[in-house]
Amino acid sequence: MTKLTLIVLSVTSFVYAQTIDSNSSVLHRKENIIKFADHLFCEKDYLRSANEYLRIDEALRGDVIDFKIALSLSAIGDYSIAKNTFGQINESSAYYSLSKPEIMKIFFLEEEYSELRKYYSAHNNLSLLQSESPESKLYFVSYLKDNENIPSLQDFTRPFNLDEREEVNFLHQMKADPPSKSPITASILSALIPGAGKIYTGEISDGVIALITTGLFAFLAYDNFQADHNFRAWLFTGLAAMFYAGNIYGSYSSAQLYNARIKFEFNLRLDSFLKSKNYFIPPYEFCE
Amino acid sequence: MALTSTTLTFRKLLIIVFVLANNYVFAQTYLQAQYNYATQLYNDEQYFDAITEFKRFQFFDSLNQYSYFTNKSIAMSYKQGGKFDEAIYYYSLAELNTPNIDSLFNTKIEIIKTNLLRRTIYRAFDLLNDLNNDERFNSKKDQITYWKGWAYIFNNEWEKASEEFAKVDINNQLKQICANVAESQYSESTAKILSYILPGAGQFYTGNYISGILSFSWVALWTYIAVEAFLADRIFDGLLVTNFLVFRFYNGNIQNAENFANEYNSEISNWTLNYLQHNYRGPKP
Repeated sequence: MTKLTLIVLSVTSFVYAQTIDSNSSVLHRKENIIKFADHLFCEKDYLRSANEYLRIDEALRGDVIDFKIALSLSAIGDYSIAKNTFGQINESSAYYSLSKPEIMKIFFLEEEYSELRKYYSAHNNLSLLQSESPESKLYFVSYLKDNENIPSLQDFTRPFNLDEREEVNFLHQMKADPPSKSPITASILSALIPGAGKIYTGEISDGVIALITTGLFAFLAYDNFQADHNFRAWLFTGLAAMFYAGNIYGSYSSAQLYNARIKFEFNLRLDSFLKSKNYFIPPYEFCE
Repeated sequence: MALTSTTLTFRKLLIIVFVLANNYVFAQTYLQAQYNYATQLYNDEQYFDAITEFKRFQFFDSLNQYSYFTNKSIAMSYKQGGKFDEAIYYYSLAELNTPNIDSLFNTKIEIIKTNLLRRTIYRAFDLLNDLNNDERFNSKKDQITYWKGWAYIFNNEWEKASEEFAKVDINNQLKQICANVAESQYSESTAKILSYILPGAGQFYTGNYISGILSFSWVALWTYIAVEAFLADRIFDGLLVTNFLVFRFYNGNIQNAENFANEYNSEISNWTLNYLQHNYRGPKP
C-alpha cells in the first residue's frame, strides 16, 4: 500500500513539474508533437506540419519524419530545402527509394529538365528505363518539356501502363510532329493570292475579307487609270498596296499566333495530365 | 477478516478514484495552459503561431468540448491575417457546433463580414437574405439591416446604404456619412446624357471646365468644316470629316464626361472607406 501511495505521489509531482512551464507541457512533448504534426500533415496544412516536425531534435527524428518534412516542404514550394532533405535520407532506409521520384518531381517543378535526366542517370542504370517505375516515367516525360531530341515512340511509351499509354502516345506525337503552320508558307501564299495565307492558318473570314478589299482597291485603281483620274488612281493604288503588304504581314503573325496557341494547349494538357497522375508517384499510406 | 477485506477494497477504491481524479484534473490544466498560451499569442497579434496553437488545442481536446471556441478562434486569426477563404471555412465549422442561438447568429454575421472583406459581396447579400427569412432571428432584424447597409457600402451603393442605416436608427452616424457621399457623388448617366445633348456639358457638370470648353470647341470646329464642305458640294470631303473627325471627338467627349464622373466618385468612396476604417468606432467588418 505504501508503495502504491509513493508511486502516486511521484507521478503527481512529475506532472506538476510539467505544468509549471506551460510551453514544455505535456502537449509539447516529442510524442505529442509528432501526433499533432501528423494530424496537420493529413489536414494538408503543410507549412505548419513542417514547422512542427522541425521542432523535434534532428538526432531523434528518424527517417519517416525526415521524409514527411521533405514532403511538406515540397508541397509548400520550398524546393531547394526539400531536395536537400530528401537527399539526406539514408540508403539503408525504406524511404530511400521513395525519395528518388520525389526529388525528380521537384526538378520537374523547377523546370530543370536536363538536371532531372542527369540525376536519373547518376542514380539509376539506364537499362532500367524499360521498367514501369515513376522515375523512368518522369525521365521520359521531361523530354516533352524542353527542346532536346525526343526518344522514339517505342522506347518512350514502354514504362507507362495501359491507362496512361493512350495519352502519352498522343503527347509524344504532338511533341515530335506538332501540327504547326509555317509563317513563311503563310506569307508566300498571301503574296500569291491575297488572303490565302490567312485561310491556310484557319482564319477563313479574315482571308476572304482581305481578298475582297485588296481586289476592290486594285479594281478602283485600274478603273481610275483608265478614266485618266490620275490622283485618285494613285490614291487607290497606294491603298491596295497597303492592304496587300498588310495582309502578308498579317498572315505571318497569324501563323506565329497559331503555333503559340498549339504550344500553349499542349503544355496545358501535359500539365493537367501530370497533375491528375500526381507525377506518377503512387499515393502514400500516411493518412489512412 | 471480512472487515479488513472491506476496508482494503475501500482503500483501493479510494486510491483509484484519487489517481483518476488526478488524471482528469491535470488533463484539464494542460488544456487550460494551452488555451492561455494560444490566447496570449492571439492577443500579441502573432496570428500564424496562434493558429498553430489553437489547432493543437483542438487536436488534443479529444472530447471536442471546445470545438466551437477553437474553430472560431482559428477563423478569427485567419481573418486577421487576411486569409479570408480559410477564415470562412473555419467559421462554417464553428457554425456547426454553436452552443446557443445567439452565437449561431454571431457566427453567421462573422461569415457575412468576412465575405464583405473578401469582396464576394453577392454571397454576402445571399446570406443576409437567408438570415432575414429565418424565423429564429426575428428579434435581430436590426442587426441584419445594419450589416446589409455595410454590404451596400462595399458594393458602392451609398444611397441604398444610407436607406438601410436609416431603418435602424434615423440619427445614425453611418446614415449621415453615406447620405453625404451619395449626395456629393455625380451621376454617371447624367454626365453622359448631358454630353450627348451638348458636347462639353457633362464635363461642366463634373466641374472640369477647361475640358468641357475644349471638347465643345473641337466638335464645333470639325462640324463647321464638315458643313462648309457639304455646302460647297465637296461631298467626299464632308463625309470624311464627319466620319473620322466629328464623330471621333463627339464620342470621345461622351466617354470623357463618364470618366470624370467615375474618377471623382471612386475618389470620394475610397476616401470615405479609409475614413470609416480608421475613425469609425462602431461595429464594422
